[in-house]
Amino acid sequence: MLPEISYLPGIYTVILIITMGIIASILLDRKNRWIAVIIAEIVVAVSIFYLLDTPISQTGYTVFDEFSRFISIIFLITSFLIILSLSSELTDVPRFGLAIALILAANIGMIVAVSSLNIIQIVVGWELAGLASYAVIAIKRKDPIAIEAAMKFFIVGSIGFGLALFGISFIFGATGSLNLVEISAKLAIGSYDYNLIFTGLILLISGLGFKMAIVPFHVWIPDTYDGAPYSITTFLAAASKTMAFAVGLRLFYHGLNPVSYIWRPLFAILAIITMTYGNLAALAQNKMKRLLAWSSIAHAGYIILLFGAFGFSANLLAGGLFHILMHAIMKILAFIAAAYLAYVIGSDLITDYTGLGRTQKLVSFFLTIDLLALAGIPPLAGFWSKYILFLGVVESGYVFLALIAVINSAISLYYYARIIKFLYFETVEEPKGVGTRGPISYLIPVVLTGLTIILLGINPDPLINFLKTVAP
Amino acid sequence: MEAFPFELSIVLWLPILASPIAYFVGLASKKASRWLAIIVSLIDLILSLHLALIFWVNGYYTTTNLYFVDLFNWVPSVGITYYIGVDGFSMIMVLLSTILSLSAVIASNHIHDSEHLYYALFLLLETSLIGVFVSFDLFLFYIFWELVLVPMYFLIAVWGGPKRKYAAIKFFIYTHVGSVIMLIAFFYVYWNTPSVIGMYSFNLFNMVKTGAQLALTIQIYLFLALFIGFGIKVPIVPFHTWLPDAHVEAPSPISVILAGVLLKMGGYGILRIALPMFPNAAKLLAWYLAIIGVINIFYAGFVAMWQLDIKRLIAYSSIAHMGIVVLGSVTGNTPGVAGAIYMMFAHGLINGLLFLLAGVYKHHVHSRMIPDIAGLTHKMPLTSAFLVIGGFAGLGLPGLAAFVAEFLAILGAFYTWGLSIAIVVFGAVLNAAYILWAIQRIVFGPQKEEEEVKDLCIPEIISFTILTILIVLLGIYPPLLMTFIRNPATAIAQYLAP
Repeated sequence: MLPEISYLPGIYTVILIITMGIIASILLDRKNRWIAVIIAEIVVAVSIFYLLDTPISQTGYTVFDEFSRFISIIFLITSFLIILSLSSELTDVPRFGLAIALILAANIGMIVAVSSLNIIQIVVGWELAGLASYAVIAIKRKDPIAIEAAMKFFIVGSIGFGLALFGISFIFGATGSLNLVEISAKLAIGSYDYNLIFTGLILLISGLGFKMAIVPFHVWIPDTYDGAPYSITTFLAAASKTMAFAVGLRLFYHGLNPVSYIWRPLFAILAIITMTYGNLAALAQNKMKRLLAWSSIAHAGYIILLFGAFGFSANLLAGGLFHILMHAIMKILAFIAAAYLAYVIGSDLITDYTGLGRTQKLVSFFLTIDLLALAGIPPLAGFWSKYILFLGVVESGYVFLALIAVINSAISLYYYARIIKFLYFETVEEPKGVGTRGPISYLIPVVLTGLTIILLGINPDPLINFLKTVAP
Repeated sequence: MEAFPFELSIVLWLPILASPIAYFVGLASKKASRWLAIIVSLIDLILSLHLALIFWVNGYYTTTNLYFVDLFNWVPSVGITYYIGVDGFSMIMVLLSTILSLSAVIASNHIHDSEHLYYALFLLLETSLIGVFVSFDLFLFYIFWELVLVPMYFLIAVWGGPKRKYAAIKFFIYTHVGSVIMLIAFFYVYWNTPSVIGMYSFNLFNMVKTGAQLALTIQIYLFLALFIGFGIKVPIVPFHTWLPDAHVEAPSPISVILAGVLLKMGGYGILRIALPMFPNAAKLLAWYLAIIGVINIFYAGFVAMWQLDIKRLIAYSSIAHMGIVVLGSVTGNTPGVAGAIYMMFAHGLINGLLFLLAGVYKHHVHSRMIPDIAGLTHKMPLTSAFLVIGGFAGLGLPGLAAFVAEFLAILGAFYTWGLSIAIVVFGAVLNAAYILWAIQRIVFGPQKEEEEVKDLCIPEIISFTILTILIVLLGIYPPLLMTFIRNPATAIAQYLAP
């Protein structure tokens, strides 16, 4: 049996490893929760190292290239940190192993989705990830808000999935193929039915739009992000969204690039609407989770500049991938730091963060770094990713789009800085959170991601050079 | 004589590295963070004096090359480098920053609220100020330029006077808008570097080369963008309104840094970046810029005349002096530009001294209003003496530093524009009028007997004496500074030479 496994491409091996992790997590019940966590972490860590080590390969429609390696590792790193924080967050949930198993299952789905050139395979992976995340949001079965969040996500997600599938059927009708390479070749010849392709693209963009959280398909985001447990929200923001962007890159850069004249302007308009609306709505938020949800929408607006400014700029793709990575890392830090502070002070309101900079020094420090990175303050990593992305937008010739993005970035500084103001610069009579400490499993992801943001900020060059070689 | 390896980098980074230490030791003992800040500023001053000495002894001033250069690739894929160095102009600006930082940190003895945070922010400020003057990569320059705002905002907003929040936010918004406008111009040039240099580059010299090759209309727009960006910092009328508020509300040591170093960033940017980068536009607009400079001198002079708050009066006198800097900068000949640079240095020392004196009045007499502080000469003889010296220096009395600068700047303007510029002389008269009148009211007013006030304490005497000695020394022996300035000034003047 063993020799055969070694012949399997990396993706299948990783899926096998994770499946074993799923079984282990379910078998190990609540009483052995730490064992379940440790096994899941080992599984994820092994998968990461295995993927780092695997050479590029292709078997049928399943490809394992630098792109799928890069994106899959984002998923796995996110899961690694999430499982850690989940272990402290879901202390009163009976089937804790199930939550871990669902997250691992979602990973399988996401890895399949980004490692395929066949639309059906992509869609299957997408839906597997979706189903697992619907369920994991509702893991707290007694919590009505979580159930509502899960239901909302389920309904919207299913509609989005249905729309995308419907759109794909149009594209299949126009090109007669579900293989991205063949679709691209057919479209490049130019003998296709414009109306079919146009309708298909509209539906596909809408479907992906739900997952990517772009306006006007964003309405579920604030409620779901707010209702789900912190760790699960982190997973949705960091991993689930990353999958949507990666799938979008595969579909539009690889399969549908000959018809970019149709989808590029659509995405450009959506990008402008999304970043502007997201930032303006975030200005009015007073709940940390909702604010981060809106900021996540605004960042989706920046990231879909990848499609909205589609051109032949190497910096655009490198910057976009960099920003996808940084968005994941920054959101992990922000949500888990919020979870930590909520654990300490029992509140999610920004106004209640008053004076926490003095009592919760470490988390406040890293949260501040993260908020500055989200706002794009140099020389943090969040700045570099935005910078390369916007530089790419300009190189593609869409200076106007870049200008709007920069203005938006400037607006966003206001609501990020407001949180910092409450942390450090508001005086209170009775400082909260004196002497209380949050769980260490929240602290580890915060510190790790925070250091990543600082170190990547000091030396982003190797990553940028690597990303220039990555193509979907 | 040779500098230590990375000595300039050490001067630059030492304060910021000490900043968190000052914060944490300050939690344990308040005195410790103050002493740490003083020692770090002193070491920084000694190191920068050492550099200046090497600069002098080795005759580096005979060229316009950069010395003590540290150049590393930072993000080569987008052309960003860590590129610091000094020529004569930067060297004296670094000296000014370190001298005034030490004076200000010594004079911070009245700060008792959250001292650890104050000194941590102060050290952060010192690094960012030095960074502006030594960066020759515009990206690095911009980071330091923006970094100045952060500690400055909090230093005003937390330790300032009664209207501190308003003043701090106004300061922040004005200067931030200015920097964003400036950044747009930087980026435009940056995007054009591949067509001239062959790759993206933020290197100042590459950007200057690129900027000079742009079409004239674009040059004009970009020059105006840079001029507004730097001009808000200078400040030029009508973008000056943040300055009186910020100066008045800031605690006195911070006013010293604001007037002494922060305003110089604007002049430095104009001379170092705006003029060389867009020389054709600058040549075309030079006359209008000179008029802006003259307006600064007169407007600020008239407004200063009826100020009762001594700090506000000094703030307006700063604006008037900065008018001379703008005027000198655009003359396009060596005396004019050298005068502008000389004024930047001299004004830093003089207004530094005056703001520190205003702080003394605030803390010893609990007021800065001229009627309240008048007539205390016999109780505060030393304070009054320093005030008279500072005031005389400010009005440009021959033998004191500002005279040399004013003389050179007006001489340069005269070479370029002829007799029409004689109007500036009336500005000097106006300047003398409001300062003399203020001194007369404060020092020679009717004596007040009833109040008990203390005179200067030892650290104040030390720091005031050092500043005074420098002011006198630069007044009677200009080559001390001119040696450093002459060649850079000639190089800058050549960009505008007809």
